[in-house]
Amino acid sequence: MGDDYNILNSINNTKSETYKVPEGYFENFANSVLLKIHSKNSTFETPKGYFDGLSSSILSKIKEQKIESEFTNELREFAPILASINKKQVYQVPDNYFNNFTFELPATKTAKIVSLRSRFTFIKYAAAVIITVIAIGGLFNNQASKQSLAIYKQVKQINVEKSINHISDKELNKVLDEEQLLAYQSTNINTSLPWKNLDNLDDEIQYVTDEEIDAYFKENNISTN
Amino acid sequence: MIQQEDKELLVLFKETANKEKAFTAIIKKYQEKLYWHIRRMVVEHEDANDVLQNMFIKVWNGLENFREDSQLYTWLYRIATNESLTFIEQQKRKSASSIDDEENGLSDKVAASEGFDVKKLEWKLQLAIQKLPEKQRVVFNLRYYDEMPYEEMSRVLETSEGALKASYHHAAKKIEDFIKNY
Repeated sequence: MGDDYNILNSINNTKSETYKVPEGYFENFANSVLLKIHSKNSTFETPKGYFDGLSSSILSKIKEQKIESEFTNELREFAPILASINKKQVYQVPDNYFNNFTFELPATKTAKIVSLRSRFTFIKYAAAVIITVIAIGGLFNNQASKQSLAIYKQVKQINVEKSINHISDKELNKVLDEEQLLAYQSTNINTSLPWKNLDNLDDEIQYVTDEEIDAYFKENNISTN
Repeated sequence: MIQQEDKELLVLFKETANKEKAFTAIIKKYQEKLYWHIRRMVVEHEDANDVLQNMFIKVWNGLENFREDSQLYTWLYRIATNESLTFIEQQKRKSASSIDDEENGLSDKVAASEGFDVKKLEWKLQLAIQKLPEKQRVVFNLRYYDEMPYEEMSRVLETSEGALKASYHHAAKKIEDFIKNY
């Protein structure tokens, strides 16, 4: 009996020594769990304002996905090979082209208008008025062959500065205003396309009615929404 | 978001002190997209660079009068398209050639590009695009590469969405046929 007790006691002692726990582990266990529960929210940090922009960022991703599938699906319907081609750029661009892209700023519009007001330009346009007046006068003369020669002779004899005195301010202002308008127009952008309207895209579409286009879409199972 | 940023840039552009800074920001923002739009039209880099430069000079001159009832992005694309087509037209006049020659000319430029490999689908696609009529090419590129919604494209090209859809489908089918048979 005494031997049996010793053996059991010895086994129990061996059992408890197999795995060891840090000293005071169980005493502090409850506290450490509670500490973790309380500090749970601060374990992982999010960037400042993360949640403010989360909904919009998710929505924009959903939108992107929708657009992507819209483009791909559209192509798959009628051009499967095209839909499968990798869209990567095949053309080469010099290294750092976009980083180094610069362009020289053109002269401002204001400078152009100022130069039109200069004395020299004023005289030039005054001369233009005189020549125009003479030319119009010449138009009433039906002797066309002599006309250009006569104008040439008159122009040669013009003393521009002296002649300005005979031209009204109204006439001069009119010329200057017109020229200014032209200068302004020349700096304006013509954004109208070279073709009037793309409705005449090519011969195939040019004379196609809306009904025929609708029928074309239906035939090809293309959504028009 | 993009619209708001553009609006801010446009406000800055109107202030003399910030004019160049704002314009530089506009260039940085759109240069790459516009470059590729132009490059796909004119094929060669040097030509694309010239057109892009001219385009931005025109934008600089006209930006003060830009009416904000349309988006800056739409307006820039329209000018880029216009400038590209004008450039192609000038090239055509210079060589005094027919439309067929022009198409061949652009195809030749594609074939002369660095890395050209006629066996690769990507290059076949480039050749096919150059075979399209000019206006279909613009529509195809804007939709296929820029993934521009028809509604926006309609504003850029002043064309009904229906006509644009029909044009894109015609173009894509032609390209598909070209690739199959080339």
